[in-house]
Amino acid sequence: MAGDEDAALLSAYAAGDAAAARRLAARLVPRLHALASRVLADPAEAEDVTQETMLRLWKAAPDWRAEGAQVSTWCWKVALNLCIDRRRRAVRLAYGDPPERPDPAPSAPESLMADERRRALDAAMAELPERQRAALSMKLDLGLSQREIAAALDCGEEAVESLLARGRRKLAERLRPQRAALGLEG
Amino acid sequence: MEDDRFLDDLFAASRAEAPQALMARVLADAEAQRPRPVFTWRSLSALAASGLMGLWLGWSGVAASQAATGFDAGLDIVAALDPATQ
Repeated sequence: MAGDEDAALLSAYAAGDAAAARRLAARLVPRLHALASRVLADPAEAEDVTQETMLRLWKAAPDWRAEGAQVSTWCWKVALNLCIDRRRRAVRLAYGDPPERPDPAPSAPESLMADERRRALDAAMAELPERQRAALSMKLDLGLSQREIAAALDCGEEAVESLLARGRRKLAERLRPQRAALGLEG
Repeated sequence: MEDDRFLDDLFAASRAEAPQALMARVLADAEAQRPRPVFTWRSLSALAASGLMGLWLGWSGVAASQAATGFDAGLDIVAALDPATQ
């Protein structure tokens, strides 16, 4: 089970095993970064949140108790709280236009289209309440189950189902007119 | 439900990838925070005891080997001096 493996790696790290830290980071960092990027729509802030979450995990390692929360769930919670803190600190930015992403070097048509899609989704996500945004990202970016999302958001599975349904509906309403322009017809 | 499956494609197509520099920073933090093995009085005592045991075994092995060699040499001398063997 993935949760057991995370806990075993964290325990090995706490015993001084540097390789365990590398393996655990490889499992968690890409997903934490995807979550924070989606919720914050700001690459620099997303990197900071990911690094801070992992730093807290390293610090918690010596006192980690296996019977507590799963390592990954603990990470999603910490990252989401950090995201919320940052958004509240910069509310003007968060609810205005999403920050500009750094322009990747090549401007090939595929790259331009990918950039357009990202911008459109960022803008639509910025209009959703925090919990809907977080639930959608955990479902569609991380592939978590409703039970896992409920654990990360400290709510019931019915509440998650409702967050996901409302979030999808709002996003679809906002983005449906742009489907053709975003190359998503079909 | 109205078709909103294009959202799945949109999420998949616009997912951020963690830069290598971020991974490097995370691993640097891990190394800085990595707990080092701690020596307690108990573990130090056990280490010292095993060292002493090793020294004793080594010394006793050498002593036994020297004793055996000396005994064999003595027999050779006795045999050499014995008129019956001349």
